[in-house]
Amino acid sequence: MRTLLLLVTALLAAAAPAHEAPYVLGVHPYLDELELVRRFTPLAEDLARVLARDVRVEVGTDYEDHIRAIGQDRLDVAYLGPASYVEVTRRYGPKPILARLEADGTPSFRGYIVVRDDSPLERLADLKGGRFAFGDPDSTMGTLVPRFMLLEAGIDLADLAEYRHLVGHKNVALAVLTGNADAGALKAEVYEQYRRHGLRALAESPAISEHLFVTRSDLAPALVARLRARLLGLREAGLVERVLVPIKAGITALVPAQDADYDNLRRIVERVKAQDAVGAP
Amino acid sequence: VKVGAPGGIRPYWAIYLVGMLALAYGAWYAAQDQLARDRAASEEHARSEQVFLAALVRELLQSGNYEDVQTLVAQWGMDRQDLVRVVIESDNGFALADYERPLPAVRPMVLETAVEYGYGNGARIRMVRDLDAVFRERDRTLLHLAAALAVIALFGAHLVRTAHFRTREAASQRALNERFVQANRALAQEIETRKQTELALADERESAEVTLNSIGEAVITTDGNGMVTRMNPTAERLTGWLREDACGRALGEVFRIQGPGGGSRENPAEELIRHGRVRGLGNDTMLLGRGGRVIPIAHSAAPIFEAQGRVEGVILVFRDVGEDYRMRKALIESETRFRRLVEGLVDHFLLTQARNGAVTYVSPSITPILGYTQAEFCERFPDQLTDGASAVRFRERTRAGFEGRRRPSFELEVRSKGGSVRTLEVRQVPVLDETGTAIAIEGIAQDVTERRAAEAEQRLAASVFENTAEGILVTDLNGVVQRVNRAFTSITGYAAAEVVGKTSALLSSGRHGPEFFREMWDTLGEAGHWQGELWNRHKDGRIYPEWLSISRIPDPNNSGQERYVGIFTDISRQKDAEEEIARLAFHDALTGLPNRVLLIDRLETGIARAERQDHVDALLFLDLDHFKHINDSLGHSAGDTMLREVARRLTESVREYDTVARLGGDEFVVLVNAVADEHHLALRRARRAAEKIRAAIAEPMVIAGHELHTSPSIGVALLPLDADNPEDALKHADKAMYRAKAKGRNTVQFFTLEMQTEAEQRLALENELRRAVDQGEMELYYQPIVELSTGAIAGVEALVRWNHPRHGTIPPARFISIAEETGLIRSLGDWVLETACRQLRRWEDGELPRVWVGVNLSAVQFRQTDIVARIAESLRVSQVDPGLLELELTESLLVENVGSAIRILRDLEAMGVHLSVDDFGTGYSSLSYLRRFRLHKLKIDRSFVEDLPGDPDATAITTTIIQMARNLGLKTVAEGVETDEQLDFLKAQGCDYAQGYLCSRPVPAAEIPALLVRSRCPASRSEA
Repeated sequence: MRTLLLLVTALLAAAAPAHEAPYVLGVHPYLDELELVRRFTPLAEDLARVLARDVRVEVGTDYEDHIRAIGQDRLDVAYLGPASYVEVTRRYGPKPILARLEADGTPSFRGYIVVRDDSPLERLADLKGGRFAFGDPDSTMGTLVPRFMLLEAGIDLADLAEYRHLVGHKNVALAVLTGNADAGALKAEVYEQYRRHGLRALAESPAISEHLFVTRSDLAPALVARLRARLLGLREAGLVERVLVPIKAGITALVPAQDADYDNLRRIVERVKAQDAVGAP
Repeated sequence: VKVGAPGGIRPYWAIYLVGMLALAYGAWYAAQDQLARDRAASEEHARSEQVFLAALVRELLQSGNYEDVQTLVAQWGMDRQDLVRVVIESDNGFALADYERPLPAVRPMVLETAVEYGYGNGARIRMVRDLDAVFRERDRTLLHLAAALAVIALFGAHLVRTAHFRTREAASQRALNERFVQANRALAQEIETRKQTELALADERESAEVTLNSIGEAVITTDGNGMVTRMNPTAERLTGWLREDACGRALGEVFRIQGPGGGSRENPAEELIRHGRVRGLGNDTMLLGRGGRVIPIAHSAAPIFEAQGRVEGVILVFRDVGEDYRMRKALIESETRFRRLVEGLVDHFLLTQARNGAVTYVSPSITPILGYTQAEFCERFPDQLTDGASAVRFRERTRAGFEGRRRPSFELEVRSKGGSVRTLEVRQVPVLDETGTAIAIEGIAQDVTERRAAEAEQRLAASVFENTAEGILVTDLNGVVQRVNRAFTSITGYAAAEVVGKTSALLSSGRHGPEFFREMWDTLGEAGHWQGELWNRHKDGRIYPEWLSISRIPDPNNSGQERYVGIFTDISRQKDAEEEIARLAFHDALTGLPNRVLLIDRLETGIARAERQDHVDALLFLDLDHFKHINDSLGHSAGDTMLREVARRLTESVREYDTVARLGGDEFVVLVNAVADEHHLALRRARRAAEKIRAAIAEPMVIAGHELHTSPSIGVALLPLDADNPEDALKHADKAMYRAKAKGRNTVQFFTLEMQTEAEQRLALENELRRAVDQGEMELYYQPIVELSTGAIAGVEALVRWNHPRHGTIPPARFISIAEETGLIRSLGDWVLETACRQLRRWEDGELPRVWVGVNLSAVQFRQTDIVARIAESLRVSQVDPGLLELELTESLLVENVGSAIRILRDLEAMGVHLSVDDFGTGYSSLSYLRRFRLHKLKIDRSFVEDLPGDPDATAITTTIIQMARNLGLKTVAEGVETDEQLDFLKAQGCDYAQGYLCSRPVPAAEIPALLVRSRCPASRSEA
């Protein structure tokens, strides 16, 4: 019986969560890893104070890795883009949303399909047989949303004479300006930046709900509530400049969000996926 | 000095001007030439850079990196100071990049290149570079150089001109100088003369002053009116007046005198001045000092005359006569004291001799020494009181003293009145008169009779000390060596100088423990004496025994300086003899091996130790086969040689701390200590040791020119299992030996029959096991593992069987331990792994439902350095999905090999191989390894499962394991499931898989496909 007690005690000790293990704040690799750790550390430190436990910043090896980590509840707090969120929920079911970004006063962002000022094109449909510049294949505003916009206008990739994925939105703007593409897809701030060099918007994208923070689905509800309250209260606490702006310039607050806020993106994804499935051999 | 006239300068200016122009032209020409060449070079450079930039831009545009083109151009602009402008413009006129330097170009060069980059797109690169940009700096340097040269030339010209004027003016200057020097010299001479006169005067003054101040007499001078003008320090001291106060006062006020009786005296100075008479010394005058002191003085006064003969003043000289009196009085007192001292001497006395050699005085202390009165001594000494030699010596020395030769002291032997002879040491001192002539000899004599006797005794002692054959050392109470003798040096090897001042611990051999010395010191402290045998170390490192006796020697003067004296003799030889006797008693004379007596002693300690430390000793009893023939045919001497050779081979075959003994005849015994901790192992090891010995002795040996063969029969007893006392042990081993003889000799037999059988069987198994793998006697059986939620077979565990041609199927429990001991587990393990993987491949090819195969990994395999590589190789060859291979590890393996285990498990994990813990729950209460390694499954040990669900302990443990595994994200497999109740319980608790006879016993590979296709295990009937 003594042995049994020992064994049971040992088993329970092994089963209990390790006391020292820090919480993990996971980030997708949209920048260099060191840079990301630097940018997210103020937030991690703030959360550590609130939770009375260390919070460690971990950067996923790629978007897919990040999505898997969130899906398998390996991250206590995760920052992710709207498209990744849609993918996570599609594959792993809902995850508790903590908050989403609000940039320049709006919790969503837009993009444009642009042409040169002197382009003869007037409507998206005119792009048939044209050369198109997309952003990164994974980029929501660089690829996903414009694909949808083109599809809505009746244009699939096959209808284009040529299309390329360029690294970053700026390269897309320059490709259009130099005449190397007839049109391209840009997020709003890059469009604003290059407009005066001679760009014109052919179409505006629907508003897409911003980047967000989620937590693991098995975290204690009390803890979820505490995390959410802290993130939403950052503006109130006057910590925007110190904690949020490093993450992304122009952030003005973290605001509440619901899964439904991402429904339009979800439809966009499904539409594009469905098209690809049809188009696939 | 004024230099030159303005008219003289002009021609030189012309020279400067021409020189400067020439220089400037030269510099300009050189610069132009260089510039032309440099421009050509930079043009070349610019063109090649243009080509390079075009290539870079083309590359970037082709890959759509427009932004990078912008960055590149900006970077170029910053890096190149000659770059005036770079524009990259697309065909449609859009300026993709535009860098412009804010400074204007001096000598611009324009380069244009068109870049084509696919899709019919193009761009133009227009670059403007300033050919002079780099070289502007060099121009400036040249200009500075020219300017510097010009300045140097000007300065040179100036130097030339100055030199010219100097020569012209030099002559007149010299003449002028000459005159000036002469005048100067005259003046200097005059000054010198004057100075010397002054110095002489000053000297005179000064020396008079010094004289006045340093003489012992007091001096006072006055002027013509009798006023004090000067006085020296002695005068100040005696009168009590300070010079400053006294000067200008009337002499009578400062120098107040009176007669001895207090009667007045006329002041000598006044008398002189008045009468012009010189007064002689007066010795009875008293000077009344200023502080009331009265000093007896002698004084005189003399007039000072001026050139015309008038009395100009008085010089008064006087001195304190009181000091003379005091000195004389002190002398008298000292003489009295001296006499008193002489009279009071005890062993010293004084001899005074007249020139004729007679003793005129002897001090009274002579009487107690010699018994004679002073008068008797003076009358008889030396002739009647000394022997001839002493008398001669005394006379000779006395004569030398009178001749003024100083001699050292000497000794005299003098007879006392009582007849004894006393030794006197005499030191003579001559008494000199005022002319330095000796008028008498005084001698101080001392009775040294006792001292001399003691000295002689000491010399004798020293001689004995040095010459005795025993080593002696004297130490203080702290053991610091003070003295040693010659024998000490010859015994210890240390010279006196090497040990004096060090402690005697220097000699310590280290053989004796601290208790030994503590006891020695205690005895010394209490009894003052210790003796015993002691091992010390010779200087050359050799350890030798000595017989040492130490005594504490009290100090004769009682000053507390006690010492120890150690006297010792080297007893090595004696000791050697004793040991030889002991050796003869305990050893065999022929072979030098321990004999029966010593063996019994060793056996006793060996058995006791084996029992205490819980290990096994092996006793090998050995008899040479057919030894009698050798003795009979070749003679006893050949037989003895053979026995010695056997002894040598035996000794070489065992470890140093084992015992080889000869019991007599051709019987030998070997005691192998601590062969093993465990009985089976001991059996094997003892057998191996015996075999080794048997083989060693069976080797041929050359004796008396013959090559001889012999062999032993060996009987083995294991201690303390077979016997717990030496007699039984020998008896049992002997018995086993006889059995070996009966078995045909040259063999090894164990004492107990079971052991003998076991040893034989194991040996046979071991040999057969070596061949079993190669001969295809091994076979893998597979036991299905069922997923409880579906009832489908999810995996199988590979179990090795040995299909022995004679013994039939042998279960792993019988041969795995042998395989591990012998290292055969490696080839066996490789075979299992390869076979399992190959089988898995075959099932996969047969498009059967996918199952994993569990393979057991033994700790021995796990310690192989190349285990990971071997597994990888098996996977590679079979092309099996690593996720389907599951390695089953024991808990002990994980716990004991933590360091290397982590590395190996990481590697395996990286390969994608799954890991499970076998027999979980039986071993270790430390489960931290579960967190350290990334494992997949825990296999709950059958011992828990078999008690389910009735036993509360078993249910608690099983439930806990399942719960814990789930928390850790691990799956659970229950082993040995045999009943439906067990299965239901496990399913209810959430156990993932079950393995056991209820589902299926282990089956050959061929039966697995049928089971898989049926896909339902009988155990899941309840679900079906």
